[in-house]
Amino acid sequence: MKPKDASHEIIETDVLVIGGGLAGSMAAIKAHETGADVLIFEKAALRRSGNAGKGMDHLPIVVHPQLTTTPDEVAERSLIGVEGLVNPTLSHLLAREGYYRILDLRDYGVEIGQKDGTLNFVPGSLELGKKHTEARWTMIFFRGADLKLKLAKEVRRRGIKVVERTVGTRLLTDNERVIGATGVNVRDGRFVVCLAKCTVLTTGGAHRLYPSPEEGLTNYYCPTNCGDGHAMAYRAGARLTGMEFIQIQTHTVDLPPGPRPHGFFVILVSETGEDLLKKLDMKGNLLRAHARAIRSEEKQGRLAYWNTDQMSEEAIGFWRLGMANENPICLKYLKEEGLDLGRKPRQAKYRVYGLLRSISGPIVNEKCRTSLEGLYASGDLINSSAMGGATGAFVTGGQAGKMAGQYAAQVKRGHLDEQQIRQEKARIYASYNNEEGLPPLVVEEKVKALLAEYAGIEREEAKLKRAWELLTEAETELIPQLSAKTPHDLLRAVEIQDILTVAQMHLQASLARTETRLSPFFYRVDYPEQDDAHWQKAVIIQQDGGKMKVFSAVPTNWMEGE
Amino acid sequence: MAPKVDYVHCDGCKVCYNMCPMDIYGWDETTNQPVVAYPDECCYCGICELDCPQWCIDVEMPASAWQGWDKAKVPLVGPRQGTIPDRAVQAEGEIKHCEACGDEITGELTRKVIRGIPHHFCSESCYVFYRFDVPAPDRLAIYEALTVPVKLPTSQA
Repeated sequence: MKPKDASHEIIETDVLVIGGGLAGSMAAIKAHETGADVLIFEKAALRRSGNAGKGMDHLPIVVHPQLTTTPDEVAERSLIGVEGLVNPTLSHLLAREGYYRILDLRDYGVEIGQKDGTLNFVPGSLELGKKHTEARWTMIFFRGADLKLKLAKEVRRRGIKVVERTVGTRLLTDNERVIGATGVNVRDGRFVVCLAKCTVLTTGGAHRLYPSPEEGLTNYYCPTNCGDGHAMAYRAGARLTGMEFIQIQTHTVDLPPGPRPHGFFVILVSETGEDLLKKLDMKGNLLRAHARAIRSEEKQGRLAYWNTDQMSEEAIGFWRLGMANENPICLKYLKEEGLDLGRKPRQAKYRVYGLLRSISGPIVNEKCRTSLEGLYASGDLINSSAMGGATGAFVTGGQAGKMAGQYAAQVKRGHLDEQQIRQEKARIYASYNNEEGLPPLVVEEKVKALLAEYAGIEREEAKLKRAWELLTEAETELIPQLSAKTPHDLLRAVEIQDILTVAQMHLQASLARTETRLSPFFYRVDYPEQDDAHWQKAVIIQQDGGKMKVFSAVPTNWMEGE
Repeated sequence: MAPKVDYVHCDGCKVCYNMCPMDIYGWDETTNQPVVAYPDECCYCGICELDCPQWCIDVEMPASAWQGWDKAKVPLVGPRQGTIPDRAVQAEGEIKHCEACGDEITGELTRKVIRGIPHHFCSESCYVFYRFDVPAPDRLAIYEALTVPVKLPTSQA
């Protein structure tokens, strides 16, 4: 095939959903319920795509009929520590609707609870504010190894069209309204144009900015979540926020990734066995407290451990159930390596996995609409709330789908601008026409290494500025050298360009915030204190005349103005 | 390290090629079998191994910091692409018990055709234990000991 003169097909629909993970599937279902014609662009395969492709077994529920807490209280509580960074109306939406989306899952055949309808809550977190100092949710545990299979089945049952192995590359606009998107089939290199009344972006978090912990593209999250939605939204002119915060996860050194031990009644201890969170008086978000505690021990030349040797038989069984439900291959690994889960304490470590999900991403209002007309967004991609997770994906996905469907019923399709399509084709196929050049993964490794060296956890102005120079160089010198030999390489070439755009936003946002907040998610060595007087607000990024415009605003002024 | 395909048992069903989230498989039209075209991009999710109805994929995990030192790694001889556990197969007409956990199947049945023979489980999660031939923990005892039961209302508000 000669892509230069490749023709393209134009598909028309009411609502286009880009990304078929948990949020995308729910968005498609809810949009379909409004009577809209729905189409999904899925980069991989709907049955097994996204973070929950391997399975997913726990859902935070914030309000349910047996709990006396009100959505107001939960919304208020969920803002502790992240004031000014997230949209409070979305926290309220999550608190209000989480439970009902879970009931929907049960209708789709997901085994939520026991046969008699009993739900299994993980205790301690059941009573808000009792066990975890600032507990924000109650956690329900279920057998969800087939969650994604069941959702995909429901999507197909409703006759929603799914275009698999097709990566969305650019949002098409008509007078600042988003009217669809272009995509590329990664199996045959075909160019696809979808003309839609409105578009829902659900491409997940941006988790491929920093080097993988192990070989290849290994990642705690699904590595397909590279930030393509962030980049597409930015290029179309949408506003993004929280791009300075990084996602950290805590693990055990000698076990494969998978469910982390702290969900199974394991605590973080010092070398001498003291409870580290108590000793260091760490409060707030558990993940953040763990990462800080491990770092604090590290700085004093000590190691931190999970007290897995103290686990009860039931807790070990619970952990194994968690592995079977969420990352089955862990079981095989344990068996092959002859590892015994509860025998001894396991050393704790932390890793950086791109940007902080549910904080970093496009700004949306309570209708899950971005700052652009015709563009909705949901799931890990958006700035929703500190809670997020799978329930966040279902709630915001459902809301985005419903609102997009209602909007689609009121408007006509926009007019395609042939020039946008020509430009995009030229951009996409440039690497395909380069017979000699750099393989996309080589460029990706370079960008990741650069970020690890000059950004990462400990950031400071001089290094960030140097990183910006180097990234700009990479954009002008390495990107034109990209060479894709197969349609599959084309996917990686598209992804690295998106990763680079996200990395640029990451650096600019990091430079703008001259304080430390949610450390170690955002830690400036040169501004180590939290500055509430000036910085209880968000850094916002928007493309303006081809340049990256960076400013700050409080949530009430996010959508327009500065 | 990457997935290894047992081409003797592979029947060309394309599940691995169709499901891989990282698109690392290519398809050899002449042999009608998969090829691991992009081994460097494997993310070790194990979806191909789990979904392969012929049990003929082995995702080799990378040697890394996870490597346990509880016990020296035992060198595995020959192909280790899953020998199917030798257990009694229930006749299709009278399926009562999950082949992994042994519980009575009261809800929806999870049916898996493995190398042409149907097997029955009470959930996908139970199949996972069967797949890797590790005993399923006593789920109900765990739930009883560690979780708080809350009755789910039968209809939406």
